[in-house]
Amino acid sequence: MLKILLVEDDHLQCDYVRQALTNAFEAQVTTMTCESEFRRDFESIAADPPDVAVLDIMLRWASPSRDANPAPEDATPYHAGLRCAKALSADPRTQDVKIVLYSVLPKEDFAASLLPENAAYVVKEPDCQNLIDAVTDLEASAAN
Amino acid sequence: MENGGRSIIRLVQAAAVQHRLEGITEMLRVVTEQMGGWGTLLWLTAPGSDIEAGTGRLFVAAYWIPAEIRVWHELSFDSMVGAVVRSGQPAAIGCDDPRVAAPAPKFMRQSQALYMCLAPIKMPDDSPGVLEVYRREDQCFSQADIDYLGQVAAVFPSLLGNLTDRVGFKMVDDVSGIIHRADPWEIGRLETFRKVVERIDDSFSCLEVSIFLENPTEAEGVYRLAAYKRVWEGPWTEKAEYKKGEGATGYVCAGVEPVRIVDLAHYQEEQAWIQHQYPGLKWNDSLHIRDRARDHFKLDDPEACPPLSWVCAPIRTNRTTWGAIRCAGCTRDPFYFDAWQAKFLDGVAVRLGACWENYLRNLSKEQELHGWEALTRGFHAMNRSVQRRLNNKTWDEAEFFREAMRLAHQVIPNTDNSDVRLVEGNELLTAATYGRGWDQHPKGQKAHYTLKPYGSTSSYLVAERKGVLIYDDVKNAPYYSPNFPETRKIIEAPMEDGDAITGVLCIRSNSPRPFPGNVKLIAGLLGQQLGLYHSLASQIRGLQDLERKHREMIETQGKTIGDVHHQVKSPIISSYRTAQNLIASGSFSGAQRQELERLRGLCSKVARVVRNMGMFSDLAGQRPIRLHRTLLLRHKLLQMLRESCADHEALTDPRRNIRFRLEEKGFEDIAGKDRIGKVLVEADWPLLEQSISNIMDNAAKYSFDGTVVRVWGGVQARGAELFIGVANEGLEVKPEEVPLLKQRGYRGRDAVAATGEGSGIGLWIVDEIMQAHGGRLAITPTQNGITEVRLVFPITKGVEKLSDAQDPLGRR
Repeated sequence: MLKILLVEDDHLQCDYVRQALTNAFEAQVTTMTCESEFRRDFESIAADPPDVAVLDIMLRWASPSRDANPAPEDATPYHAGLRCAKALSADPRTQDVKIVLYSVLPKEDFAASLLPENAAYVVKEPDCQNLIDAVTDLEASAAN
Repeated sequence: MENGGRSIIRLVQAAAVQHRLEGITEMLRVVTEQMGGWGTLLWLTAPGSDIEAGTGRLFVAAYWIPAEIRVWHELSFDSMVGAVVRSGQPAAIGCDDPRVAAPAPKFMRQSQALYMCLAPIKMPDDSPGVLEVYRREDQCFSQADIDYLGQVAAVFPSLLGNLTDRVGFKMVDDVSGIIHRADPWEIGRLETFRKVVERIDDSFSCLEVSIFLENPTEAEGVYRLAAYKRVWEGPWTEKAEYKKGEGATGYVCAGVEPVRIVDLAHYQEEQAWIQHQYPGLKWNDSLHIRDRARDHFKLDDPEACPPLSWVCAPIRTNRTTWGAIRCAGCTRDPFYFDAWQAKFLDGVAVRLGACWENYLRNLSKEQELHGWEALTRGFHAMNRSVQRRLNNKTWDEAEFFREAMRLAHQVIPNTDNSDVRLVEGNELLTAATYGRGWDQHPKGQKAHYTLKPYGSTSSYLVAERKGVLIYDDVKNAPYYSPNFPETRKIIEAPMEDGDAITGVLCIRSNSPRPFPGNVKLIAGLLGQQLGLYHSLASQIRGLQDLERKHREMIETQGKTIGDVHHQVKSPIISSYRTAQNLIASGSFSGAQRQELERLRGLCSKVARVVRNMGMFSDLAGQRPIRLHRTLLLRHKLLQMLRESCADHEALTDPRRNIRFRLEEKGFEDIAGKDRIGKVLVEADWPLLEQSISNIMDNAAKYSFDGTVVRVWGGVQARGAELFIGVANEGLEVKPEEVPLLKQRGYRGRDAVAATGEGSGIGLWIVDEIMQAHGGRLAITPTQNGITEVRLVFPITKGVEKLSDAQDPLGRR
């Protein structure tokens, strides 16, 4: 069974995408809603890495909380997903995870140097077909 | 030294007490008396006479006779007087002697003289002459008389020379005193020269004494009458100016030596000698000077006329001739200016030259100082003018250039016209012109000059990166392109912007006078100032272009956003209403109803975001918020708040467990359908909805998980205001942060971390909307963990005031 990690901070979209991926691949989709949650749970992700990570690029650090630690200086929301991708690529345990960057913004809005080399880039559309196609392609290339 | 009881001492004593040149008359009287004669004449040889050849003439230079007879006769060398001059020997004969020229001069007939005694004489200026004594008594002159007259003739020149020296030195000394005591104001107003003229006339007793001076502010080589003393009125003396080389006076102005003409009435006969002495001198007796002199002296004797002696000395210094001082026609004995008098007049002229040059030097320094002052004041005024025009945004760069050129003409003397040329690609284009003659030269006002190959001196300056170029003769200016044929001098000053030359200030002068010494600095400063204006104007023009483009872009964006708003609005409202109708139908329950409420919430959110974009565009483009007020009715307001609470709750992540609670009790005072006795509030309904949605959205985003957002309202400020409040428990808002929250684009660091989305314009828009209503957005900093945001509206006093009024505070 395909294991997919979905990091998306909009809960409505998160639900919708999770449902679409589950239906398309009969996948096991794990969801996270903010960067702090990704960092916090990175060890467990690395211990059992997903096949594919679908990362929203613009992510909040954390929901407001009485107990939340202040956000690190570099934790701006604009490149949060890219930081998550970098963390996955940098760790030997997760470097084989296929990454799909998933954003409402076009790829050209980001400097090429910021984007991981082997990551797929998918622009958010009302349906999830382009995302499903991207994940299918990644799977096919992995199989070859 | 005695001779027959006569003594030369008597003559010496008489000469010694004389202090004026006419003292010669007294000396001749003493000679007459000593000789027992009736009268004595001093004959002189006219210049150019050839004594050996016997050509030329003799004239009466001075005389004493005891009668009102004018003894201004002339003789040839065939006369007895001429014979004595030629022989160099004294003689005595009877008046009826055939050697006496026949017919005898009229005065001889009038005098009834019987004998004459003659002795040759050599005047102090070496002019040969004869002393001639007449006797009426029938007793011829003895040898003793002849010897005595010979002795007199030997000492007479020395005595006369001594007298001339005394008078001359005193005159020069007095003139020096006049000059020494004169202040610059007196010299500038020519008072000093008038005094000098008076003083000279006092010694020389002339028909006319005049001083001509060149004025440095006028054309070069023109000498204007500066001072004069005349007893002889007429056209001759009315000529007020001479050009260099024009007539005898102009001849003197062109040289450095004095000129002396013994008798203008004999100019033609003695022209050869005059030309020999003064090569190139030209004089024309167009006024028939002899007749005019005879008229003046009221002479009825056709043979008589006094010598019209003329002497003129150049007023000069070592370097320059500034003018001339001239004396014409003696009115007393001796009736001519001798060489010594000419030398004394020359002494006066040299002193006057030094005085005038010194004055001009000081004047030049003063003018230079005034020029700098004028330049400083001019820069100040220009800068103010530029500032004023730039502030008014009604400026025209050509006007700045004309201001600068006007200033240049004011501070640089003898400037006639100028223009400013700006670098445009490989050309210099005339941008502005100033001064005389442009009307007749319209092409020059829009001239093009190529930079390479050099199309003008300006092109050469720009291409070769030269500094200020000054040419006192345009013929020396490289690549000169004449605009005006009469231009004689040019100044070319670069307009600089940093290291670049952006244009050239070109100043022209028709005057032959050289530019003053400080012109290079002045032109350089003006060029720099113009460069600064041009740079400033270019930058401002660029900024204005940018501003215009930005405005156009904002307008385009606003229009686009407005179009998007209108295009999105209808389907969103339809979607919203569809969802609302489905919810109201009661056909759905449980999860389906929740999905419908989410859908309605999403429609509401999209509508709010699009409206925010539209408002952002309007406000950024400085378009005023136009309110369409209606009365706020309680039930309608509550319905809207209920739906808004439901929508925001539906859209919030259920895992966060944030609830919205509307407290309706406080709204009871707001007018319902009956309106009676209730609070009346006017508001623009869609804008109110948008404001409430914006502050609820903030509350949803920044509240802690598991908390309740309280929505409430009521009357405050003793019934003057209505508020709608949203209080939540979440991220802290510090007091100092409150004003920042209303600023466009402000987002607190914690807020950014807590939400990936958002642009920081929500509260700014709400604040603008509330101000347009005459109300306000009130943010209470966090106290006891609770933060509250209120929309505060002024309460309308009466129903009659309901209207679609504009902003009561006059704000946009």
